[in-house]
Amino acid sequence: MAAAAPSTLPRPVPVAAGVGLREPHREAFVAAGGSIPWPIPWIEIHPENYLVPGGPRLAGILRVRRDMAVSCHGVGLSLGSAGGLDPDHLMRLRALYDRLEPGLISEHLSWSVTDATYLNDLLPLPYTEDSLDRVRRNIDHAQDAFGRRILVENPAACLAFADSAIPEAEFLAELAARTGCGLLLDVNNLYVSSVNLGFDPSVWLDAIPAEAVGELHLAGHARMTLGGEELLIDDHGSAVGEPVMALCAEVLDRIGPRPVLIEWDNDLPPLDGLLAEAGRAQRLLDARMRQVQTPAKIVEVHRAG
Amino acid sequence: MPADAKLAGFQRDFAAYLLHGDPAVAGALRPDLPAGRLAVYRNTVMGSLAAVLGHAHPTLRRVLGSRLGEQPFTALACRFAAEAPPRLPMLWSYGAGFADWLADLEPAAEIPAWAPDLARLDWAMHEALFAADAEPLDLARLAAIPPDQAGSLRLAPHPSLRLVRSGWNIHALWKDAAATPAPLPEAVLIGRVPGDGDECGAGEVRCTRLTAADGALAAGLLAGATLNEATADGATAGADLQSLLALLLQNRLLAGFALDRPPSLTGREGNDP
Repeated sequence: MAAAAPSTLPRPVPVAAGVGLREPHREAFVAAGGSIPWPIPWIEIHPENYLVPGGPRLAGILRVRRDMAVSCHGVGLSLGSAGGLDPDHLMRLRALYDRLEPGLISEHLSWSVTDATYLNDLLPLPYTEDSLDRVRRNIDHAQDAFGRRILVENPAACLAFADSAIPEAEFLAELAARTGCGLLLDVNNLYVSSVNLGFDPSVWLDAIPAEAVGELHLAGHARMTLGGEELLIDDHGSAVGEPVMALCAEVLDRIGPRPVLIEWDNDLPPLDGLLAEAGRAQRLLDARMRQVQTPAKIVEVHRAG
Repeated sequence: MPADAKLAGFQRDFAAYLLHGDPAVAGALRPDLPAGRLAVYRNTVMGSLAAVLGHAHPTLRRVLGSRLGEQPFTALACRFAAEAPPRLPMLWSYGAGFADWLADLEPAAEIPAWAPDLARLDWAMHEALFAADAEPLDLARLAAIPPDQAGSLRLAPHPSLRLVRSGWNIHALWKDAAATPAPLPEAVLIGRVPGDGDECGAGEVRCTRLTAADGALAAGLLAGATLNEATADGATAGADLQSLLALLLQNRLLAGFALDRPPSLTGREGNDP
């Protein structure tokens, strides 16, 4: 049997740009060993891809974890499931988190499991008082099982439901207030939903408690025409669009610097292309970090100028 | 819990739409949004499950595709996904039943006769990649066995070791894009060979073609027969035990062994994993 990984202390995810690590890039990360030559101090993974008995994929992520902070972004827990969470899956995730000691753990405000069937998508919820109570209980269950706080991500939607009575941002704010969970603000999802459902992202942001936001996501989206109307699809298959970058700048101005992740899942570019995207996000952050950390003497320089 | 029951009914309706196109859930949509947008979710679910099955069955997809085009594999994968959707949220584990499902399709003539075995080969390689890690058998311990006791050895395979026996030339179809399907009794031994480094979990999956007789012998050994029991089986006539053992040892695909005899006073002859 493989020896248990040595116990590790959690390594916090820094306020910097990171990238989602996908399989085609794993070997490059592992091969770089302790001297990562790239300007990114953290990565994010989908933990379900590493819930394997053994082999190079699991060994690889344990190796990468020795050198940098890791965030785990779950895609299968299904916080919106009416039937509650799968205790087996909670335990599988807990065991992985105990080995990896991720700096952040996140899940989605969505559902993907019903009647013990896993529907591999992040499906939309009606935002009702009943849903709010169900998701609240599920988040409590997850945080208890993990022994860790989670962040909950806003979904990308092209649908909404007739009986949704609670605006999405208020729904998220309520969850944070009632469970102590944090929020993962996916800027691309916010932009995609605002266009598809016709709402103002600035109004949405007004309802989000800044202190609860622990991470931002950026990704590309696609445009498709359906029934004569244009629809945005959150496909994570291209560079981050300019409107999303602009919205990210607004978010950072409102809530302050946060770890920012580039997600790219389809039509993956070479690693250099992915790192260049992280560079764009880092420059947005750098501009705001200077403002936040600007000591008095630099302010004086400006005054002097 | 009527509140959860209402949400559960909604989710059941949504699932029925995603997997089978049943439109009942459309009634829950906000009326100002086109119900056609539901199709985006159905296309995502079915398309990505077909892609997952294709990723886990690259040989079957390639060989079917080269003979019939891309459409038949995708259509089969979508049918399978609708009938047997994933039970676990780890998609690497999805597709274990695909080969048997193909073999049970009615009418059988709908797919080529070699398709289920090719799917078995693909799945065995896929499983081998994610199988548990194990220290390879220490050859010195094996060498210490007295020759007169060798026949009572039982082998403990590495967790990644798989055997696929077929009536078709599945090894050639996997290895050579120019090969064409032909009836040929053979077997393929699949295992994850450890890497050269000290990383226990490193390594790559390899396939080795065996004759039908060697395949029968390997099947017996992997099922836990002693060397004597396995070679006594009539189906193994003509099998080459020495070469098979050499193959397993050279590729470090054994994790241990046991000697089938009453325990000695020291009780230290085995090396069970």
